[in-house]
Amino acid sequence: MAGAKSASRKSKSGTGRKVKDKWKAKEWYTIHAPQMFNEAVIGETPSSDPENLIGRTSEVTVQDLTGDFSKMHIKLKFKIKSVDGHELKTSFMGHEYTSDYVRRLTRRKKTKTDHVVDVTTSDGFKVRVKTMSIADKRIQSSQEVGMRQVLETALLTMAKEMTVAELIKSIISGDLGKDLARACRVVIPIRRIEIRRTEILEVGENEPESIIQEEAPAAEEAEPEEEPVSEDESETDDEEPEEEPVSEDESETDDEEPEAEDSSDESDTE
Amino acid sequence: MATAQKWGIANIYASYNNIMITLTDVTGAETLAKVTGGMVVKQAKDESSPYAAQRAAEKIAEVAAEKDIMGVHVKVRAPGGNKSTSPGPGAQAAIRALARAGLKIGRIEDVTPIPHDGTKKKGGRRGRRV
Repeated sequence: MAGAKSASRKSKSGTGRKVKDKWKAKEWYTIHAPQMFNEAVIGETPSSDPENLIGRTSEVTVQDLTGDFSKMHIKLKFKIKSVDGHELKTSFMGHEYTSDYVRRLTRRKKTKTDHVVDVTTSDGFKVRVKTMSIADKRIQSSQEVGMRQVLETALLTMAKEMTVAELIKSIISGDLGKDLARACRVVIPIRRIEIRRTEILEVGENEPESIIQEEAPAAEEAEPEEEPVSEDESETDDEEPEEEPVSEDESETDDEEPEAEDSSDESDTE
Repeated sequence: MATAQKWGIANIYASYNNIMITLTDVTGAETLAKVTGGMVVKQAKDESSPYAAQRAAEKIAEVAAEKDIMGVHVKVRAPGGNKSTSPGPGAQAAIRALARAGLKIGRIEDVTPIPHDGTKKKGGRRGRRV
């Protein structure tokens, strides 16, 4: 009896202990951005075995890295490629716009033209660039086709002369979008072409150099996002959760507003 | 300790039938805690309620404090695909409760899977006839 009891106890405590031990066996590793982004700290990840770490991906907004508020809709993706003590090195995988930003741009009666181009940079990187352009009005599909052609050739020639670091920098800053828009002006005048997403398909030989110079690299994770939580609880509590419905409402109203405008415009023209 | 500076991700899956909150690290590879609606309420019909979401979030916050997580980025998700794309009633309550429990809230993002066209939504041509 006693033996059975102790056995059952053991098994119970054993399972309990197992879970705890599993957690205790894990150590925290610090993730660093690649050299391209000044090796800023992205975050921490726990693991019991360093081998498990390789291949994990983490997302950061540009705002977290540079402190630039106007770039909070661009997410950068990093993949862990090597372990060095408790520091993890990553490689850049590509960027993406947040879905709510894309949805904010997309409106009724304004043609959205998507295109996907695989470009090769001067330093041997293969990058898949996904562009998106919002015209001021509904445009004909022949214009869309023409625009895609012009855009593709322009993008390919531009990328051929750039290193991957320059390419990513110009994408993030929006310069590439402006240049592409200028190239597309022969088909249809367009304000800006958004680079919705990039994916690094093939990595070249050299590590891309840093593309963040003037900004303080110290502005990481915690600081810029620090909405005044924790201290004034009651106030912030009210603020925080409401963020979402507000944004949703905004997007909805955004969708509706242009409709109304457009319809009035049409009636005027008619 | 510098450990109190860690960020995590709170993945909130809110459907009209349940809520599921998974606390992970920033990579999303390591799950730190998982709480579902059924773990905090008795009645099956209450699983998706804001109350269940609140209780679940409180539990999550507890574990987060235990594991030195200071703040969370929130990823809200509805069933998506060919199902409903709007998060259930628990999503808001969960975020609110997380904030109230003392966790910092970073980005809030909607990660509902949107199909680039796929299969037909169930219910047939004439819809669901109740």
